[in-house]
Amino acid sequence: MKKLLIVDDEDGVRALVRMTLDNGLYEIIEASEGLEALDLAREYHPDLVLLDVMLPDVSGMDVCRKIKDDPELSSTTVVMLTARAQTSDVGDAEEAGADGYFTKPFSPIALTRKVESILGPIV
Amino acid sequence: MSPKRPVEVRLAIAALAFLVAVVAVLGTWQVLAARSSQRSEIEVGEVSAAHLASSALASALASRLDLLSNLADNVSLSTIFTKAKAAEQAAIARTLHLIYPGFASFDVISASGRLDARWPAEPAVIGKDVSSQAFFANVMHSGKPYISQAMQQNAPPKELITLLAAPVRDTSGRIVGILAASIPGSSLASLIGGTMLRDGGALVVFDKFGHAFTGPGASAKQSFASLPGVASALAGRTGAETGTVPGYSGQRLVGYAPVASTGWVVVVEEPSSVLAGPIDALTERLAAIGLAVAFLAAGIVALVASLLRKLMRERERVGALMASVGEGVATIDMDGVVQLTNPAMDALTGWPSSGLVGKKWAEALDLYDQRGNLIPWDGSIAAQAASQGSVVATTGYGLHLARADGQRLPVAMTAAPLRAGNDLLGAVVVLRDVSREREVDQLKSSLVSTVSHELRTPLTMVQGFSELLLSRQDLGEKRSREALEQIHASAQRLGRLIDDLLSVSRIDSGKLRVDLGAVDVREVVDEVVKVAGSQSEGMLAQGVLYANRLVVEVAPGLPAVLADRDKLVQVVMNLVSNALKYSPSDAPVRIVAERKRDHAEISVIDAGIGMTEAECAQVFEKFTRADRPEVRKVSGTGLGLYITKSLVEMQHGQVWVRSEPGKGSVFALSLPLTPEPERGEAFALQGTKEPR
Repeated sequence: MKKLLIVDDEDGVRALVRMTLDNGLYEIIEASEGLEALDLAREYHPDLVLLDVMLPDVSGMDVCRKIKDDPELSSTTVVMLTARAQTSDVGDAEEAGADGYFTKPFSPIALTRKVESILGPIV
Repeated sequence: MSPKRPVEVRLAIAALAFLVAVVAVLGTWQVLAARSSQRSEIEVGEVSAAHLASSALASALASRLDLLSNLADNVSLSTIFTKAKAAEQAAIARTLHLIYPGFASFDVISASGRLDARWPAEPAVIGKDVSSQAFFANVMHSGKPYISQAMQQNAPPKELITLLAAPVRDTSGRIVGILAASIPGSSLASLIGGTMLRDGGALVVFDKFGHAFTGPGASAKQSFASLPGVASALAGRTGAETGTVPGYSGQRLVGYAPVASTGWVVVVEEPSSVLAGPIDALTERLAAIGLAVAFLAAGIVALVASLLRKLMRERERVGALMASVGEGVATIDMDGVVQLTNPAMDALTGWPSSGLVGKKWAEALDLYDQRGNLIPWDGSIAAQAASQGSVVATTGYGLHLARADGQRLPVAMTAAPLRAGNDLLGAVVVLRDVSREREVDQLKSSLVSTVSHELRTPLTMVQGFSELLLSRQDLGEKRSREALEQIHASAQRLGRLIDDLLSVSRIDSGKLRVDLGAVDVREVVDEVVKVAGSQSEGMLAQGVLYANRLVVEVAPGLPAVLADRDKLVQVVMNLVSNALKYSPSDAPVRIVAERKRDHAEISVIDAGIGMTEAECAQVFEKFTRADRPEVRKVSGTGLGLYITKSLVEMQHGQVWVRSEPGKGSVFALSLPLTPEPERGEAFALQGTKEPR
């Protein structure tokens, strides 16, 4: 079972992502803060992290960088999920090593496709 | 108020005063020189007049004496003196008087000293003995003719006279008598001729004792021998000096000379008009010129002073203008050297007063462009304005000035060409501190970013959940309901955000109005609790549990406050919702209302995350949120407390906060109680309400 970590300080956003992807095929883990997300990633080695940028404690970019720098998490894909959609933000995400970039508001259908393209289709 | 005269005015005044002084000195010198030359001229005149007069008098007297002597020598006369009767003697005197009118009278005197006859006849003196008189003794003794000193006639006409006497001899040469003739003092002048004297001049003849023959002081009793001119002449000298003349007032320049063979002296005096006339005319002319020069000088001084004063005032006005301008102003010449700065420029650059003046602008001040590169003089807009003659201004907030203390300030700069007529003299540079504008600009950016984030998040949920509901049939009832609740909560959140933004906009533009009236605090608190309860379901989604955490403590009998009911509800709601949001979900929030003198105080007390002192100081400001995880975790725009404070103050109340990090916060507001008459109504309202 593929493991998926959703990181967002907004409860509503996490609920939306969970509801979108909760098809019984993924194990979904949630975190509302950056450091918590890092701990969970190291504990569960998720296949995919959907990562918000504006987190209360540390920046999502930093979390991404830490995950990418961690050799044990080399197989983890990180997709930034943020309301910040300026070109410079996309550049920052690439620089931080993110594998993808998804802007809010987002379409659950599009998100499903994106996740499927990374984790493989839902059977 | 007398402003200090500028040095130029003082110099001008001094120069003109010097000019006037020079003119005065030259004029005085001229007058004195003229006076002196006039005096010496007059002196010469006086001396020669005195000399001529004395010579003329001496020769006239000598010729008279010769005449008398010749008459006396006549042989026939001796017979008359010795043999004739008194009547015959009188007849001869009469004849002589008739023939020689130059003499006033003739006397026939015997060798014994008896006055035998006189013509004009004077019976009172006939027979008198004159042997004791000086002339008699002299003639008898020396046998020579004699001129007497001044003598006062005892008999009419009682004149002051000089007596000429000559011996009369018989054929054997024996003196048989004396022929004497008198010349009145008053006619001495006519002997001289008088023509040499100008009109008004005086001529006085003195005998050797200093008795004046002529003039108002004429007397045989009073001696003027000690008068300067008289004394000098009596000592045998001829000359001129300043002295007085008997019968004339004042000091006069007199000429004097001794009269030969008489011991007499002559003193002449020119009339004062002759002496002073030309000098006075010169003096008057010079005085007039001097006065004119002085007036002219004074006029020039006044004109120059007024011009300079005007200039000074203009300069002061410009100075005052420069000083009162809030922006830093400097003038720079074509070489980039600072000519002038105003106090604001000095304050802005951190240079001591006028310390920039004389320095090169670009060397004294470091200006950096938005990339942080130092701007050289050639690249500065000041140089552009000076060389191209056009007004140039910077845009944005990229330009930075390094102050003298190293601090960097964002500045806006405008440079305009400085012209005098068609000539470019340099540039005027205006520097303005734009820190505040830059802050506002950043605040605006952060507002856009905050608001767009705050809008985007609920929008994300509305869009996402609705899409899920529409596209997925497999959600089931439970998840569908959850999706709808999320949509509902997000819509409410969007509504609140828009309300807040509108409130701020209305507050800032002054359009928000309050409708004050008697408001029961208990009722307001109840409504807040009710609204919080009704919202709790929706808010549950955000992890905020309401109604059962609220503890209400309203003092019984609390009078009504003067407030706007709806605005007060909004305010208390705001404080309560903040207290709930920023404290643990199981911690109680107390709402306390009590009376404090003539105010009601409503406090909302939580045991939440609390705030530092610095955070407390900023908490009521627009768009301010503490920058730490506990706060960021809770959604918010930083507008709520700004609105709260504004609303409370519009209702003439106050709001404040006491807080400690980790211990919780107390937000309190006070509002004035209604005036006495309205309170009864409030009590009545409270009385009808059912106790909770």
